Amino acid sequence: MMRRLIILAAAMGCLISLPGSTLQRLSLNDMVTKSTMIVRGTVQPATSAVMRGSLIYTHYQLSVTTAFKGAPGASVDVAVPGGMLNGTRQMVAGAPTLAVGQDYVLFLWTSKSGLTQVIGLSQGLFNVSKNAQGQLIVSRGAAASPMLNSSGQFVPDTNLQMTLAQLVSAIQAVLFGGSGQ
Amino acid sequence: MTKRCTIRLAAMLAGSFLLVNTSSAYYYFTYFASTTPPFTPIVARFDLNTLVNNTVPFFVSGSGPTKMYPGDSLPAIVSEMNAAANVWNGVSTSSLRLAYGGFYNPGTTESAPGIQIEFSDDIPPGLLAFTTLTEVGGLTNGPSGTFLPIYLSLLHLPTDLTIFNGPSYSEEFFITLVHELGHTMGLQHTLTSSVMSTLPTSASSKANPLGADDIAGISLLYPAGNYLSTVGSISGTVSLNGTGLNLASVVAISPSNPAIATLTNPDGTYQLNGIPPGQEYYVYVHPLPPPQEGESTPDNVWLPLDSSGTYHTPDTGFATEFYPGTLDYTQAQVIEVTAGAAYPSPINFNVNAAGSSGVASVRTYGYNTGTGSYIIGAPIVYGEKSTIAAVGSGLVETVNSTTGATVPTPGLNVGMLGTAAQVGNLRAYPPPNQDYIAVDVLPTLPRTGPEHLLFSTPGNLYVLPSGFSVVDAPPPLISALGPAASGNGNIAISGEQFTPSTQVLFDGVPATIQAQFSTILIVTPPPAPAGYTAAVAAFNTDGQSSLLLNPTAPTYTYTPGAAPSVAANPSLIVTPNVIPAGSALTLDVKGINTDFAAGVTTVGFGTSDVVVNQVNVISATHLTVNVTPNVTISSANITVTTGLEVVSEAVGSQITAADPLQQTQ
Repeated sequence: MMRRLIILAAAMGCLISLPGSTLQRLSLNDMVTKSTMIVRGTVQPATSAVMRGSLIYTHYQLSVTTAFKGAPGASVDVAVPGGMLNGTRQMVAGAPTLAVGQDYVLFLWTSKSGLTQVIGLSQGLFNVSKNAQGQLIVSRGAAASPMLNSSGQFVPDTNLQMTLAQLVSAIQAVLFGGSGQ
Repeated sequence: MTKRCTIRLAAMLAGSFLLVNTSSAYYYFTYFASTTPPFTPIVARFDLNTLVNNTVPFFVSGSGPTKMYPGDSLPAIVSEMNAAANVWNGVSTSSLRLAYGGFYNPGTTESAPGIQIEFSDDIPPGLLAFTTLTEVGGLTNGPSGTFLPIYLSLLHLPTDLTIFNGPSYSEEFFITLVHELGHTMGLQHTLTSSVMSTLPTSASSKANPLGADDIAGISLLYPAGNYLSTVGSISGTVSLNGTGLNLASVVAISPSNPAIATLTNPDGTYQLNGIPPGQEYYVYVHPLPPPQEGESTPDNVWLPLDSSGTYHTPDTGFATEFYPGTLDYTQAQVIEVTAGAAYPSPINFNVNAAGSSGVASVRTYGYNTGTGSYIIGAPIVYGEKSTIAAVGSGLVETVNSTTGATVPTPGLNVGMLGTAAQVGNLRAYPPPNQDYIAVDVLPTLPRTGPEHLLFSTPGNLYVLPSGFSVVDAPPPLISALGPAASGNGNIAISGEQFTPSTQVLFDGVPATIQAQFSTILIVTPPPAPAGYTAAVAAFNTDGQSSLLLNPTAPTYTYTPGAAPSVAANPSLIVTPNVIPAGSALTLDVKGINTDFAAGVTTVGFGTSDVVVNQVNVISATHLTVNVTPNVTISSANITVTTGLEVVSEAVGSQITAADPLQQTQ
């Protein structure tokens, strides 16, 4: 699976520089490199909506169980664009909704202004669950928006699924240059 | 969303339960004022009654991007934004218009509806652009029914524009602008290969951005004149084992025209409007792609919300089906609609559960053997056998995990709707060209336009509208340009495939065609300051442009002292320099090194609270502008735009706009 992920990032190299996208495909390596934090955690019940300029962000509190990159502390405030504040609703198609109580691995990015978000709208959001064998699995559904690779070529996103151990190994391999296990 | 907010919205919607709305979805940002059938969509759109001349002004952040491609510039970007807005303005059956209103200062508040385009440092990696719609004030009842008025749309672009795969004149940047502006007006994503498609199935190009679905979508949201009496409609229900399916995509498609689609309501009902009469249509239904785990917005659709605050997720997992109940379009019923009327009988679907996920999210590319280029929209020249590459889910199967070698998915067959071309020689490509298939296509019917591909797998089918397009000739090509022998500031452009309808853009501004031959164009460039360098590209009406084969456009630098160059460093003197709130007044604008031109020059103040009533160009360096300031303006800009000359100065020193966002907090 890991090999598949890497190939997906590098593949389609012959396919064009072409128009029309809002998302840019990030490989796992890209996500590890470009994220400022990678954490596993559970979404807490309390959410809030905050106005930044003219844009409403919905803030989720994530109780961190493991930090794979960065030092976030016990909790992280994750902002998602869109939401509702005092009768004003802002809609952002494609913005993820985090489920309270759900266990996630998140690739996060903090802007210069201090706003922490999931990278790639939803590309950096992995659901953690157990498979039939009791292994912890991380998975991400195929993104529905058009995606470009780093060369600007359109590529399909696919359902990503692997064991949590494999994901951790891959993250460590990028960060530390080894197998990580 | 907090519980309190949910309750508030629910109460707002419930309070309007008895109001009626006749709009259907194409798809829009949709609410339902009930939790049970019948579901009547209430959609978000601008309130035309609050607009001057049905026009929504859009403003560009004066802070601009911080990083651009070499040679790119803010005036070039603004020119592309104007061109993208004009794409929507060109829809004659829509009454809504967009107008550039100049640069705004970040943090500007407005009391009138508008669109702000900002460059943000807060856009995370992996996201090129996104749009936010702001609703405030609750339901409004209008002649066409109840709707939720959009107060402010925010189009977010990154401050680093080099994350796009090309400068502002590129196909990618332009199509992204057209797409995002569609969102700002209330359009959601569709699955018809049009500019509002969310999947990598878009066949849109800079030369021909809009599909029939885009036109129907915007025209039904803001119908102009007698539009509704010129199109027909169908309606019905999509169900599985007797249960209505939510957000199933129902598509009307004719063999040689773009598709039109809508999504079903939570009870499976649908109404598909905006269908042009005079054509034969097949009708099919297919599911949205599977939702992403960890989010509730599959297909990046903002899910319909009901009066209880519940988002209605899509029902997927069923197989595509042509009406009535067949995977084989040759067994499907052809229907014709009548202008201004609904199809006399319901088009109902009782679909079957899908045995497998099948094929999804396919995008096709034509292949130009001369240049080795892959071309979006897959234009295929009539009578010539060409290769189409297809990228998507479910197309290939890896047969060697070591080498990554692939074959077409077992059972996959690629064909087309109709008989306009021969399709065959399906094959897959091994690494590094993994995960795509190719077929050979030979158009055999002498007609041009979109053709639709069919990807069939055992028990399922994927239809790709506009999977390729038959054209008469290859894309235009620019080989060289320089001063024309005729002088007068004209430019001679040599190349190939120029036609009488070829348009030439200098950045986003059209040049005036003075003479046209198949290999030479003589054009007068739009005005620009001396020293300005513009990218030059040619566009044909068949959807092809010179950017398809050569994404790096040739450039033209305006020479000092030679028309149509104007002197560099233009500036303005505005009298009075304060705009008090109240009645209309006329500002006198003197230009230094400007080139004002009647009918070309536009004036904006960076806020929807200053309405520009009239611009009167007296000379190249003098104009007057009559405005109505609704509020006193604090630190606004006046922006005067003529072609590629953009001059902006600070003006005004008062007013504070009443900000609906702040008022409701």
